[in-house]
Order: sequence, then structure tokens, then C-alpha cells
Amino acid sequence: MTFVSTAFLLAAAAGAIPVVLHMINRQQAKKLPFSTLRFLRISAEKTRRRKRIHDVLLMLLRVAVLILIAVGLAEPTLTTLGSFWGSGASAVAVILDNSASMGMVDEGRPRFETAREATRQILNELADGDQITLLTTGGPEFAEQGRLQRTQDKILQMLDQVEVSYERADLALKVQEAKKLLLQADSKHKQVFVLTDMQQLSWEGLKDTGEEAPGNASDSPPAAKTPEEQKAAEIPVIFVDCHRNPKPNVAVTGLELSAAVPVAGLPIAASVELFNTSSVPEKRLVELYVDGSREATSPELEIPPEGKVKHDFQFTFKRGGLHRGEVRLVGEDGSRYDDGRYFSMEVDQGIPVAIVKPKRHEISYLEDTFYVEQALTPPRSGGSWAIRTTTLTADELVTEPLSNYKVLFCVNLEAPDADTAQRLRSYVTGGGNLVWIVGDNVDPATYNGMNEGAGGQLLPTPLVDVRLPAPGDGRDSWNITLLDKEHPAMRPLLQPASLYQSVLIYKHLRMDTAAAPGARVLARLDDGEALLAQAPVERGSVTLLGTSAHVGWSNLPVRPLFLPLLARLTFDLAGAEQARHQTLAGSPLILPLNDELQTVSVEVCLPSGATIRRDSKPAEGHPGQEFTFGDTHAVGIYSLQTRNTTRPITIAYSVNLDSDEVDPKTLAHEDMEKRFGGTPIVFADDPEDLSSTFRKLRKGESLWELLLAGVLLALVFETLISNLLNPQQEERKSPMEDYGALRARTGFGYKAETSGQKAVG
Amino acid sequence: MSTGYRYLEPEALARMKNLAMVARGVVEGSITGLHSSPYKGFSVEFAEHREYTAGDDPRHLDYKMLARTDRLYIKQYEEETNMRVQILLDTSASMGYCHASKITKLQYGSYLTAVLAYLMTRQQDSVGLTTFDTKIGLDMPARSSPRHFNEMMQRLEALEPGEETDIASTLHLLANRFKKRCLIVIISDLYDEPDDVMRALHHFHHRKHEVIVFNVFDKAEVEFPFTDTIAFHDLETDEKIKIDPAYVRDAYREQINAFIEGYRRSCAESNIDYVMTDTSVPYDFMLSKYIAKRTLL
Repeated sequence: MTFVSTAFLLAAAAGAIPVVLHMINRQQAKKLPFSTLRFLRISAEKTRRRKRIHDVLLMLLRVAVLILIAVGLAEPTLTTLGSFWGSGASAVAVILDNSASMGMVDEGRPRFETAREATRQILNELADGDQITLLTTGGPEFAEQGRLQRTQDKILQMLDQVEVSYERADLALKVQEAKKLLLQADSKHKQVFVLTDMQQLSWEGLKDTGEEAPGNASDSPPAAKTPEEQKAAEIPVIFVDCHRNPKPNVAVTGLELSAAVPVAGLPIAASVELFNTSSVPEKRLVELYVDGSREATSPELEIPPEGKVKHDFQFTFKRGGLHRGEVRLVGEDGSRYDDGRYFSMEVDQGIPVAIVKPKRHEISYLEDTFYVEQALTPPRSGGSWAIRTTTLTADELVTEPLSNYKVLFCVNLEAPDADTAQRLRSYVTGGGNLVWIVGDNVDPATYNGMNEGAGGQLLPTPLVDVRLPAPGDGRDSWNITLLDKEHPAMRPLLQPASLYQSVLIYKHLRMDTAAAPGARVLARLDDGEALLAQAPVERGSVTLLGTSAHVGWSNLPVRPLFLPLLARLTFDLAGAEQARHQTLAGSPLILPLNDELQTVSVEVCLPSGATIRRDSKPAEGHPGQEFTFGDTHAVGIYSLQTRNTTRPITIAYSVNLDSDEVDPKTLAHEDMEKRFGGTPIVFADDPEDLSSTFRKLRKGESLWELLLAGVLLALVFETLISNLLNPQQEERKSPMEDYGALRARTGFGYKAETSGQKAVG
Repeated sequence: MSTGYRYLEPEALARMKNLAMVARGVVEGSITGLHSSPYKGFSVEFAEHREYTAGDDPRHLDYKMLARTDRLYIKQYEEETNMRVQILLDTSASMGYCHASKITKLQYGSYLTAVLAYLMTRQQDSVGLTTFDTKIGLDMPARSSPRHFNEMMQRLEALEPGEETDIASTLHLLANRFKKRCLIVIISDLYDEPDDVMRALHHFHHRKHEVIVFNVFDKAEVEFPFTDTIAFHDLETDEKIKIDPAYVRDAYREQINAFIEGYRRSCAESNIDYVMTDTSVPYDFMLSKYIAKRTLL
């Protein structure tokens, strides 16, 4: 504790006054005769202890009142706070929360503007020689960010340029960064200012930073802090809470596109989710824009308080290619940052499928792929069929850019060599779908070796052997008796059952499904053996049909099941691609270029329309190139196009706001204090006027009000003890009370004044 | 009768002129009067029949009885006699206390003595006065003459508070001195050990005396109205004690009430009239009330 006016402490000597008065009072007593002291002696003995306690209590209270007044006049302050920002140079780190929630309009003013103004107030308080750094939680990086500056010019420039970003904040991490930065400064005083709306989402990382209060979350004892951690924990954190009463707000928190096949002319469903963050019901319209023009408008949707509502749009793409779209709320509300959501979708005129055969045969129907090609490109479909097939040979797998195909049917191939296997693996992990159809060329042992060499990512299950009906079994074939009714590709094939039960399998390749728990069996034979199995591999999948696509092993190619089986499988595999080209603001866009061995130049078209050209870098962990683009702070469509490749690739990424960012939950000050444990915490009283907070930081927490309360309390107790606890002064009924009225009536008078007797008393 | 005495107020006497102090028990007197005597005589109250013997006054023959029984019987009546009243007035130093009223307890007792003496003398009863503190002071035997009354009044005016109190032993001494049955009126603050005092009163009772106790206080002694811290000193012992009256008031009142109630209860059990009064109560009123109550009983 420190005192601003120490001279007033001398006034504390006034505390001796009650003691002196008490002593003087003891010496002064009126002398009176009394008839007998026999009763007084007993009474005094009985009440002596009580009187002494009362006297001492009163004296102490009066002494306390005088001392408290003297101490109060000396303006006492708590030194623990006063040391935050006292004499000597200071190093200040200002963390400016510019996450999307700071764009919310509170009482007619965006939170971020309040925070920006508060930052200026902090800068105005700095003295010459003080150091400052400004850290933002999102948006583009500034060159000055993360450096302590002795002048404010660059900080002010940066402050003018910072805008609300669409990213979520990790303030716990930022506090840790700020403290690390301040530890490098040699200033006497160090402070971290956090200007935020106290959104709970922004502090989820607090547990990981080590700032958490000991024993708060885990049962295990906290690890001992290093000296540096201890120093960091001692740096005070001053919170400027910019959260006020927000304007009612509705946010678009979800957008899901679904299509059986992303092909032009086929219907696409867009499901929009709206969230009302306010406590009153809201009515809003939603519009769907595709390629810049309005496609549809929803009816007026009523969203309950703090509730969600979904609305489905149905539309079709009239042509193939890359399409961009957006759903957008009509009208204004508390935040414009969460009023829309973008999407992109690449729609083909047909699904690009490659059919890989061992080699080309002069007589087409003798080729293993004959029935597969017939099934995937029906002769009578004309130009409107949704699948576009390309036939490749096994040798061409080495040179063909596989990423051009959504599905790769490998029919009766001998096990590819290691390089080809590696390319296939990259294709699958990059999002391709590989379908193996076995045949006479397939040797289980060689395939298993290839699969092991590719990390188990080329086959859904290990292969066992080729099986024929045994002579003693009494059968010459197996039937398909079970289809996976939960699988979207199999579901349309369940009825009629004769469609698959009529298939006869004379020979098949057994799969060790038990060794691959991640694999899913889509079709089984009547003895339970798997015939068709599928397994997801990173962003792609691998599927294996355990019988041949030629009539040598089964009658499947000539049965009515074959065409819909391959078509549905292709649609399903191609449709699974939809969700892959979207990400959240601030997250990097990664374009795998597995087929490229040389540096690829990629042109990025930003949502603003600006174009940036950058080069790819060698991918880590596997051959090929990889392009990463991290400057995704704005929401919208980012279009990436390779330039110097033989077959240019164009992919559009939709970048949106993290839907969690609209969560209005805030962290209470008490919770924040608990989470920060031993770190000194100060909450600014008013973000629009930080003068009282600065005064508190410079002079400490004034105890004047506390002392005044103490004085008032002491006075109340003094009055209580003096008047209530002390013996009653009022007269009580005496044994002679009955004579009172009679005395008044008689008006009797004595002649005492004439008496010769001597009266005493 | 002269009313020029200090303790004999004409107004008080006028208020009490129609009252008569009657002995509750029997008293041994020599003059026929208001009070029942242990001796049978000739009065208006019939007592019994006795056979006529030579020398009896024939006026008292019961002729009706003679007609019925043919025997001579004499009618005997309860004899009424005069009462002997001995007033014992405490003149100890504590009786000189005065705070709430204009007069001391001793002066109040003197007023009371005077009016009692007047009443007794007026109804042909003998009245005597004995004062005491640690020893017997003034000692006037009971007489009914006006001259005796005048002397008593003069002596009363000369009374001064004396020394410490030793009521019990003094009363014992006095109890042995009064041979004939009489009415003992004690006027005192009774500041002595209650048990000892009660034993002394029983002594009177044992000697067939009727006892009336007027326990006189100053109002301040009962109510203890003092406020500021006061150094009290004892009138009898000169002992000093400094106290804050506000703190001890309740305890003091408990003590004094217990003291009074103790006497009241003990006297009631012993068939002794106990009258508690303070000097702010008009003595004539207090006495009128007591006599009226006593007559009813």
C-alpha cells in the first residue's frame, strides 16, 4: 500500500483523543451521598465486566474512526496495481481483436471502432521512451507486427489500416506471443492490453497456453514453471471489454450443396442454415446467386430467438465448368460479416472416367474392358450421358495426368510397378477414386506386394487367392445374396432382388476383410465371401470388384445389374468430390500437383478480382509439386489455375467465415480471472474512456472508498453500541408507581424547609 | 389540641379525623375503650353467663334465664379497653438520606409518628416513642395524656440522624422491655440483615405484641434515577464507590426489589403488617389507606 499525501498520516495521532478522553472521564465523577452501598456494591460487581467491554469497544471504534479518516486523507492505494505503470519506461503490447465478432454493431457503433479508439487512448498515454507493439488476431500480416516500436507513427499507420477480418481469434495464443515479446524488452514496467469483446470462442486455447489457474481443469498437479514462464505470468493483462448491447443479428451459418452427380442439367440442392443471435424473433429473406445473377429468393423466414432455421434451394447448372455462387441475407442487421456464404462447384458435361486396360486389342469385344466401356458409355445414350470415358493402357498410367479423372477403372491389370503404384497412390490421396476389377492377370501375391509398397493405400483389403468351386461342394457357382443397403450406390439396386440374385459367379478373388477394418463390403456371395469392397483413403477411395469384367469368371457383365452397378458406383464416387473445395477464412488453400515434377506457376484470382501469380513448391512426403496460398483473409471465391502445365487445372475454393464466430457467448470477468490464475488482471471500467483505468494503473487501486465505508461502518457500530447495547435510560415501573396518581391528586406538601432536621443528599 | 408542632399539620389531621386506629388482636389496657381486652367486664358485647355469687351487682342478673331455669345467672360482657402503642423510630444515619423528595426519611418518619400519636391520643390510647440507631436513644413510655403528647411532639422536632444501624439487636432489646401486650409500630428503612431483623420481629410476636412495620425509602433509593458517573459515599460507613448508574440500574433495582419483597413475604408469613412507602408519598394518605385496609380485615 502506498499513500499519495503522507502528511495526512500524522493526523492518525488523533486516534489518541478517545483514549485521553476516556482517561479524563475516569477521573471526573460527581460525588453524592447514598443511604447504603450494600446493593450498589453487588450490582457494580455484576456489571463491571460488561461495562469494561463496552467502554473498550467504544474507545477502539472511536480510535478506528479517527485513524481511518486520517489514512483516507492520505489517499492510500494498493501498490500491487500501482506498480503496473508507474515511474520508469514501459513496454506495452496491445492485442487488438479484429475477429469477425468485433464487426458487430453495439449501440450504433461497431465494436472494432470502439477498440480502435481505445487503442489510440493507450497510445496517448505513452511517454517518451516507452515501447509499444500492436498485435492483431486476423487479417493480413503487417511488417511492424510483432516488433516493439519506440515511436508511434508506424503503429498509428497500422492502426488505421487494420480492419475487421473474417477469421476467428485465438487470444490466448496472442497473449502468450505478446508476453514473449515483452520479456525481450528491458523496460521496468510491462503490460499487455487486450481489446476484445470477450467472446468465449476466442479463449478456447487458454488451456493450452499454460495461463490456466492451477487445478482448474485437470486432476494432476501443475508442472513447475520455468523462471521465464514465471516472469511471463507476472506481466499484467488489462482487458478492455468492448462488448455492449448488440443490435439484433441473423447469420448464415451453413450452406450444403448436394447433388447425385455434379453434372450440368441435373438438380442441385443448396441447404442454407440461418441463426438468430438475438433474443427477439427475426424475419429475413435469403437470396441465392449463381455466377453473379440471382437464381432464387426464399419466402420470408421467421427465425426464433437464439434459434436456427434451414431453407432448401433447388437449382440446376445449365452448362458444365466452374461455377461460383453465394447465398445472401436481404437487409441490414447487427453484423454484415456473417450475412452471406459462398460456394463453388465444378460441373462437368459428364463425369471424367478413365478405363485402364492391360493393352489394346484389335478385336474390341475380346478386350477385358469391353463390357465396362459398354456399361459406362451406353451406345443409345447419345450426347446427354453423364459419364465421359477415356480408355487408357497400363503403360499410359505413367504419363497421363490422372487428376483429370474422377474415377479410374483398372481392369484386369497386372500389378503396376512401383512408380506407377506411387502415382496411383498420389492420385487416390489427392482425391481420386480407384476401382480395381480383377481378372486372369491379377496375381494376389504381387498385388499385395504392390499395396504394401504403397502404404496399404491402393487396395481396400489384402487379397487371399483365386477361388473356384470345389468338386465336392456340389455347386459350380455362387450367387450374390447381399448388397449393402446403407451405401448410396447400392441402395437403388436392392429392388428387385432378382436383379442381383440372378448373377452367377464361377470364379472370384477372395479378400481378407478381417485384415482391413476400415474397408466396407458392398456385396457378398451366398457363402459370405466379399465380392465388392471399398475403403476411403485420405481424400479419395479405393474399390475392388472380386470377379472379372469378362464372362470367363461370371455372368455379371451380361446381367442387367452390371450397367447400373458401375454407373451408380461412378456417380457416388464422383459426387463425393463436392465438399472438398471450401475452407474457412485465414486457412491456407492447398492444391496438390502430384503429377508435376517441375515448378508450376499458379494464377490465383482473388474475390476482389485481383490476380496473383505464384509458383508451386515440391510436396513434402511424396513426389510432385504442391501449391499453397495462405492469404485467404477475405471471404469469397478464390480461383486457382495452373499455367505452365500440359493440361491446365482450374479449381475454385469458396472461403467463408467460421460459423462458430457468430456465437454470442462471452466469458465473464470472474471466469477470465480464474483461467488466468496467478496473472494480475485488470478490467477497464469504460472502453470509451480509459482515463480512470490509466489512473488506477498509475496510482493503484484507490482505497478511499473502502476506508470511507469503514468509517461509516465504525460510526454505525459506535452508535449501536452507545445507544442500543448500553443500558436503557428510560424509567421503569417502580414499586411506588401505584402512588403516582394519588400524589398528583392530593397535592400534599411537606414543611421540610421549616424542619430543624438536617437533610442530606 | 395544639397544632403548632412542626410535624403535626392541620390539613393532615383534618383528613384523618374520622379514622380510628384499632388493635387487631387483644390488648391489655386499664381504660375501657375501643380495643378488645383479655379481661371480661361489662360493656355492650355479650360474652357468657355465670352463676350469681354474693356480692355481684344485681343489675346484671339475667331475668329471662331466671324465669326459664329458676336459677340466678349473671350476664358477662367483653370488656373494651385502651390500647398501648409503642412507636419505634429508626434514627440511624441512613434515615437522614434525601434525594428525590424534599424531606429525609427521618422527617417522614417523624410526620408519621406525630399523626399516629395524635390518633392514638385522641382515642384515649396510650402512645410511647422510642428512637434507636445502634442503641436506644429517646425512650418515652406509652401514655395517653395530652401533656405526654405535647412532650413527644417537642422531642420529635429535636431528632437528628444518628450513627450506623443495628436494628436487629436493638429490637431484641426492646422486645424484652415491653411487658404488657401492645401495638409495636416500627418506622425504619430496615437496612440491616433481613433475617436478623425478622428474628427480632418474631421476638415481638412471641411476646404477644402486634407489630406494624413502616419501611420507609427515598424514591431515589427505589428507582435509582441517576445518569452520569457518580462517586457515591455511604452515609453510615463513609465507604465510597464510583459507578456508572446506567450500567448498574437494572441490577440495583433487582437487589432492592428482592430486599423489599423479602420483607413483604416474611412479614406476611409472620402475620406482621408490612407497609412499604417512600418519602414522596403523602404520609397521611398512605396512613389513611393502611388504616382503612386494616379496618376491613
